[in-house]
Amino acid sequence: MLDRVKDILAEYVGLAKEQITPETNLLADLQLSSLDVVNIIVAFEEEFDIEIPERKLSQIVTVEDVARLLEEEGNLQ
Amino acid sequence: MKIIFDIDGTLTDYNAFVQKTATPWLAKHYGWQPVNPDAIEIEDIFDIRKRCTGDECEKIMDRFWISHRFLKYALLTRFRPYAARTVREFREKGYQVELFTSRKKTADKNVVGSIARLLTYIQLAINGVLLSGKAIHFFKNDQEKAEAIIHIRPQIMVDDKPIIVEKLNAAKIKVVCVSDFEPAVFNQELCKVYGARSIQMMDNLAQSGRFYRKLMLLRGILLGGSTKVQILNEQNLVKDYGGGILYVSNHRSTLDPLYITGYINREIHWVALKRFFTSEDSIFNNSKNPLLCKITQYCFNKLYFFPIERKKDNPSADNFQTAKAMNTCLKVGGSVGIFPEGTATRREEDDFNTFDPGFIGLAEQTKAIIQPITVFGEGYYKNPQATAEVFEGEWFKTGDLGYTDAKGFLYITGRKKNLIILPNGENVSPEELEQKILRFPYVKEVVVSEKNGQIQAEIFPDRETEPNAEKTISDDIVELNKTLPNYKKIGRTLVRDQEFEKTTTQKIKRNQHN
Repeated sequence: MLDRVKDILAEYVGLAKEQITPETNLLADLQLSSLDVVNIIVAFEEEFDIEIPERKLSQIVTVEDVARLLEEEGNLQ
Repeated sequence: MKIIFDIDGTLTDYNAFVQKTATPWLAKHYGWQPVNPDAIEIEDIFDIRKRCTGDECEKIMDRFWISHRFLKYALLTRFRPYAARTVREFREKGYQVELFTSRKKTADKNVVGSIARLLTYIQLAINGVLLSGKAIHFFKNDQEKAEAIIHIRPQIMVDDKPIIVEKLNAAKIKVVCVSDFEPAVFNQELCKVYGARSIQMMDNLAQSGRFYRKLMLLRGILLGGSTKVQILNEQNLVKDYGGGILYVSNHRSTLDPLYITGYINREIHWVALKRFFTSEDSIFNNSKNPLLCKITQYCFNKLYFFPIERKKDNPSADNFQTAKAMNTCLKVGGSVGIFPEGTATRREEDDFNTFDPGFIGLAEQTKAIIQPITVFGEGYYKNPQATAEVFEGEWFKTGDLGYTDAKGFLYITGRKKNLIILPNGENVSPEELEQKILRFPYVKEVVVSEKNGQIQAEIFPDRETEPNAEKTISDDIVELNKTLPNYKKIGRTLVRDQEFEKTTTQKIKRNQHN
């Protein structure tokens, strides 16, 4: 999952995949806006047919968080 | 938020009526037996076209309906259990409920048609559904009904006829197909078709829509007063579209959302700074006005505006929740308004601020359409000369330079007023070179300009990450120059130890650094 998230992010921000690490901060390092981050998350939700509950979204800081939440929800549903 | 219910077959059990009345009546008077007992329409049940010619059929059906059955059907048929309650509940939530029917005879423009329509109103009333005449629509046939629904694009549609469901689904309108209005079952069906999150959002929007409609009764007062508004190219506004629309505008004044919403007369959910929703702050930025603060706060919440923190203010993770809500809002056909400059640029000389591109992804993701709006300052109000200068026909000249590639993609290279014209006549966009230099990881700020016929780059580096900035910059510029055509090569590099002076909107004051 982490790999997929990195792929999508790399394409979205136009960086090489190697430049994105699990610890990369979405807002500070990648200069994404919260709209960008949510667009990416919703794209994943639609692909895997899951929904990350709204309250859990506030846990997102790094690339790893996105992958972790998607995985957690995938396992739950 | 609009919800449309079909009447016959959905709110009522039309099938049972037909089987209990039409079958024995036609058997008694014409000696017919049902051919397709499970079909919905009487015509299909008896395959009537094979038994009589067009005119004859009409007469037989007229006889059936008019003689006594219509009266009996309209006045004695009870809605399905809970159906009326469901309709009422949607209205109470704030949905605009409409009823569509292609019931025989009701669309006729004659006495029989009028009586049939009147009977339909009476039937609804005795079943406990009181709607204004405007909310009930009569259609000649299913084809016309389906077309009308596709045009309106309701957020929720409840119908039972397979042919309607098929047609609407083909037009990407979802339909709930039910024969049971028991609340738990009905809600389950709704969630199955639309998803729980979308239902919640539609409920929220319906509720705010109710407040919005009340507020619009005061429209005259809100839009009156000393401010005058002139609208150009109104014909370019999207109208009669039931899907999500993203209104994107530059920002001149705190009253922009009020005026844009008021004139467009569509409920737009604006993205606004979070402090207006929570603290004692208000759009009037004045703690002496506690009442105005309270009103702002109350209205913003009631109108379901989106509280957001600016990107540059290190937003909290709450922004994600807001962004998600915006996404869902557009997907269920709500309208979102956004000022991507992030802040109001009040003075004419401030021009526009750079638009944050986040809204583009939002529109792409939700398949919403973008309605661009430009707010001009007062200098243009009823000033045809100033207006003509910035327009070319209907098109507003933004002053951006760019090009389209072979595939039709548009690239913006820079601002026309910043363009460098070199002595040999070549034009260079400083922004294009600045973007390239900003990719060096240690560069915090850069301004490219023209000096004595040469292109000059003035750089403010981060000395902490790059102590030996002069040397590195010089090396990197040499490398960069290799990738540039001759006329774009950077001839001079300056390194500075102070950041550039900024305008109130945090843009570098370019002209002072030539």
